[in-house]
Amino acid sequence: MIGSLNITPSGDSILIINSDNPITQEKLSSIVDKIKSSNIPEIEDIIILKDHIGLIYNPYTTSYNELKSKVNSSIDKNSIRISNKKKRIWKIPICYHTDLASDINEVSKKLNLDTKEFIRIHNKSTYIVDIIGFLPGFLYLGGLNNLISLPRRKTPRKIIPKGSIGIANNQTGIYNIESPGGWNIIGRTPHELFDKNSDPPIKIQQGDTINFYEIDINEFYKISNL
Amino acid sequence: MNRIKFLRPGLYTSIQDMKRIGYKKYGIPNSGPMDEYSHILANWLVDNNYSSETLEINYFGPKIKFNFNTTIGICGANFDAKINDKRIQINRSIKVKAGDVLDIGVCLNGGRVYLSFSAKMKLKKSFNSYSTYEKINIGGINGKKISKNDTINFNKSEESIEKKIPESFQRKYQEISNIRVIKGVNYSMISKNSLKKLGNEFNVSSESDRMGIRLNGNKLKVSDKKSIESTVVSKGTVQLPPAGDPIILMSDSQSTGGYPIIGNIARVDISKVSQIKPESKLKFKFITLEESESLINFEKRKFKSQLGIDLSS
Repeated sequence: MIGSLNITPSGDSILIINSDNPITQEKLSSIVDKIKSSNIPEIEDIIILKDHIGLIYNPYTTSYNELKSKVNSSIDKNSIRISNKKKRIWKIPICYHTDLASDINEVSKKLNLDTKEFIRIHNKSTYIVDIIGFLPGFLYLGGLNNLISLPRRKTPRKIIPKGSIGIANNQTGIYNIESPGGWNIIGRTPHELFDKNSDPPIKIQQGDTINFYEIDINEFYKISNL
Repeated sequence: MNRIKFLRPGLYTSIQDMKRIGYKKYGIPNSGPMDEYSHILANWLVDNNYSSETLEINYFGPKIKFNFNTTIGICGANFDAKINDKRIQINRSIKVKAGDVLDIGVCLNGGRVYLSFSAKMKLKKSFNSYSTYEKINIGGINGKKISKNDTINFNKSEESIEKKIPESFQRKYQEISNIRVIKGVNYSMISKNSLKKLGNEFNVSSESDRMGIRLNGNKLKVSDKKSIESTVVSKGTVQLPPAGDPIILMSDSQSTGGYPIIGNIARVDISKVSQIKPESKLKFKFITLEESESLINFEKRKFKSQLGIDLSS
């Protein structure tokens, strides 16, 4: 059983589910599975965040209270079982060459590390996809080592190339489309993780595990040109 | 082939249908019209389903040549519109003939107008929607806003429709817009001093776009500087970035945000927000969720009883 779940509104078209106690990603996704299996037509989208769930609904088809009781009964119907889904692990190549990692030298200096040490620390951690969002396909990954945590850049860059990997605060993140951005860019992956011509456009899901492996710049261009 | 050609694209003209649903979990916004209310009415003028695609026209409109007979609908803010150099009335259906040139000029109040066609555009959907989203070039024509010499092909349609938006649905655009808003999840973070200023006038910045409407002229502060976890945001969410100028998120806004949420615009007032001209004023009036829901129900009944549109379908 899950116990102590809170359901609250945010405006007139978002419903938030969170918990008084710390809640794991597995629990959050099993709650989402429950809600999905009840096929509640008023729900337009379900977004899993770090420690809560956001449901976007159409307020022309339901009131908040009606939806809340539907959601409650879909969660209560059976006790929440942590599904035995296999943990999905993605191995993603990253190149830390300064040509592709505009901030890596500056970042290492600020952290009083030499660049090699910085790379070693970033590379050996195991990351969890906290959130997909903000930008199409942007991955927020939790699990960054405290030794290499630092704030966003004061002035965001106008263009960050597709595939760029950055760090900000306690997260590392992957820009899967070219966009402006304020994260410190410390590497780039040649893999195209977001494809606007596929549905779903990204196969990595919230809660998945990510491990990076280092490639050099020759390998980077070899893979990008495939 | 039934076709229209853009002799002039206008300032920012794009194809939008009601919205792209179900892809926010991948970071893809809903898009869709900034002013859903006028979009729905434009579709009603030509007997289309209310969620069908229209052209969203911003501030300065396009010049369009038709090579077929059809009926169009124009609804939204008042624009200086002409067919073959003859002034036309908006908020009604209009017959056009092959060879006609529709010229939608500058807006006279508000900011946006919607152009609907009784004929069906021949376009390809992307993630189940025709809505243009330029950041990843999906929807519309090649995922882009309209450019000069673009063409859109249509299926055959010669039906003649004569409709006019009833008075009771036509909106007045005022100097100061009073916008109803529900307290946001981080409302309690607003500092004591700022709470007193919350009802004062805000200025709508000219830096606003389809992602968000930026306010200034009435800076607000949070008392609690601790950072908050990112949460779900949507059209109408009012965020307060550290600089103190609130942003009202709109159609192309991101799916999650980490700034304090001080309010959420009442659903029925979001379309009003979208029509506030830059450099005009806006005032917030706080209401409860229940009050917002009764406004939604009122609007639903009004659309159903007077126009036969079922907004819950």
